[in-house]
Amino acid sequence: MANSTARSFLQVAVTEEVASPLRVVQIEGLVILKIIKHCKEFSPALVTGQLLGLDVGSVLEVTNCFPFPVREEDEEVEADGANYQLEMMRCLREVNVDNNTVGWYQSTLLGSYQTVELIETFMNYQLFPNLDKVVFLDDDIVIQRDLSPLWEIDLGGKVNGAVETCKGEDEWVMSKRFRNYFNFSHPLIAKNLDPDECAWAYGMNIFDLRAWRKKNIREAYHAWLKEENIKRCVCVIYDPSKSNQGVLALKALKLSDSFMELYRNNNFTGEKLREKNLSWVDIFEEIPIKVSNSALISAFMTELEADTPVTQCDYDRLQLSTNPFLEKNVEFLIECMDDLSMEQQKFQYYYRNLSRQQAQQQAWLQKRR
Amino acid sequence: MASSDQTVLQFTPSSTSFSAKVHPLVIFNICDCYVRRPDQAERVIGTLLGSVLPDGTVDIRNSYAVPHNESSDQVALDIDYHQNMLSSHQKVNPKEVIVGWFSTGFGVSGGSALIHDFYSREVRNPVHLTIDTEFKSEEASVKGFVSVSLSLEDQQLAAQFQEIPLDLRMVEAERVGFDILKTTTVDKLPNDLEGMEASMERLLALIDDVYNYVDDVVEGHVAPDNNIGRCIANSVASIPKLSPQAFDKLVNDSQQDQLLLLYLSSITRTQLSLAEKLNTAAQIL
Repeated sequence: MANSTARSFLQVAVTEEVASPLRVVQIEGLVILKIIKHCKEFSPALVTGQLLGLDVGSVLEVTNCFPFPVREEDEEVEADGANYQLEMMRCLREVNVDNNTVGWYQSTLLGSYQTVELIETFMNYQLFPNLDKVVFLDDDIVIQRDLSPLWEIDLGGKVNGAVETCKGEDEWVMSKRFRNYFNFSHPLIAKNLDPDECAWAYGMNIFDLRAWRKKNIREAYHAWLKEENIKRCVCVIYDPSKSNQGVLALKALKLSDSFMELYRNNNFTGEKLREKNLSWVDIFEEIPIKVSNSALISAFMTELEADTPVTQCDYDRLQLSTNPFLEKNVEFLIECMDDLSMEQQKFQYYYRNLSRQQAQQQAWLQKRR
Repeated sequence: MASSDQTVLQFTPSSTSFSAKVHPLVIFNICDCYVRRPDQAERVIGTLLGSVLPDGTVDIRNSYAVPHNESSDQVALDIDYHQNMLSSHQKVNPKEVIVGWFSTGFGVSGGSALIHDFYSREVRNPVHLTIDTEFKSEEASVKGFVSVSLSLEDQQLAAQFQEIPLDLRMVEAERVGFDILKTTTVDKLPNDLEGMEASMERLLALIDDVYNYVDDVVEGHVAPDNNIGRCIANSVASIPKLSPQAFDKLVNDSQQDQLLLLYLSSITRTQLSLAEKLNTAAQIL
């Protein structure tokens, strides 16, 4: 079964490759308010959260979001965080909120968001080392006997072996089919998968990585990720400090396609960069934001709007103090310059070493002749 | 009613009448939940989160919908869901606690007492917020209630929902700008300059209004009002008196600072791109 789905995944990935590029991010007013509330409450600490919505052609609709708890270093807490995320998605789905992840939001301080971490979060996907076979056990499995026969099972050219979850007595465990796991409201999924297909337990799995490689699943998976997550992943950045000046400092970013390709292949050589004509300005692409509100909300807002001619926003905007911003900007500039000069020193050092080694090599070759 | 000696029927003294402050996010969220309600449901019900301020005002800052089933005489609330969602929310912000519940619809309905009872067990004196999403009264009515129990000696007879004043001032929404929240689609967020322009226009219009008013008063068209006069005097006095030269100097100085920074950063950028060019040239050689 894994075999057949894998093929259809691959086919789908190939046929759906030509997707229209992302042009607009359409955000609901609700989401804006939620982001602002979360970022502001924790300011100056930086916080993040998840964006939920729908991907419709060249428009990415962000219709809801939820905050992540403030991260702590503890590992247990981290696992807790993952649970939190799943739980929240499940709960929101129950009240009919779109539960496709379309990206995340984060707060920033005075515009200092362009970091390596941001790029890494964007590119958090890579698949496994040089193994031929993998036995995968979930962390809640209790092992009662020797598992080596598992390793010996011949999968007959198939990729994945696991226990099906629809042919047994237990009504709860044995009732899981594709419809329980996949989001069939997504047209791509509804078109290609059968909701009644038997699902499998992920507690204990065997993977034959040779067959895996033969079937190009990785490419299919990447194509899917590209389709589903990476390509369509936006990061909405909100700057609470700037908003105190009466500007709605909201930005939607994504990584540019050419940068993503280089990053994925780890091709950061001078030639490649030149070939693609890539420089620092091309790493992020800013996508225009559109705001939409339901007619109901619009009606409420019109009704509830205070009728004073001056709003809080005007007060904030007309403030004269700009010095803290200047100061911070100079600070950032100096920091970057320091980094840069460090890097340049390293670079020069490398080149000096390189030329020395080359000279030595030449000398050695001469001697051997 | 409760003043005679042989009091039989009385309201248990509720906590001093308090008010509630509703943040715009709550209204947005409730409207969104209403739009997304299941087909057969007529209203949505949910939990309100927030805190009680020291002066007794209830600050309603967040909300989430709770699935429910409703038939003519009973209401079944998904309590598990409520608890899950609550613990999730508390992970993010432990300071937000349950302060009450909301329901869409106009005013209080039959099942309300039951649900209110449930929330009374979670928190003392919950607030009940109703939002008329169907516009039955032809205006957007948002109402807050607290329950006051009506008792005969020790026996409880009924609960009465007493309306409490709501503060719907939307400072956050004002910060975002009503222009964005009010219309159904906005194609582009206003940038710094556009926002500034709008603010300036509004400021100029206000100054014009004040001018006209003062002129009218001086010429005797309008009866003078001392309060307004004081306000105007105050706002004029709040600007420090500066000579035009000093003011020019201030503005110019700060502008020069900014230009300097601009210059510095563009020099850095030029330097960088030069270095890049040189390096690539070196690599080709």
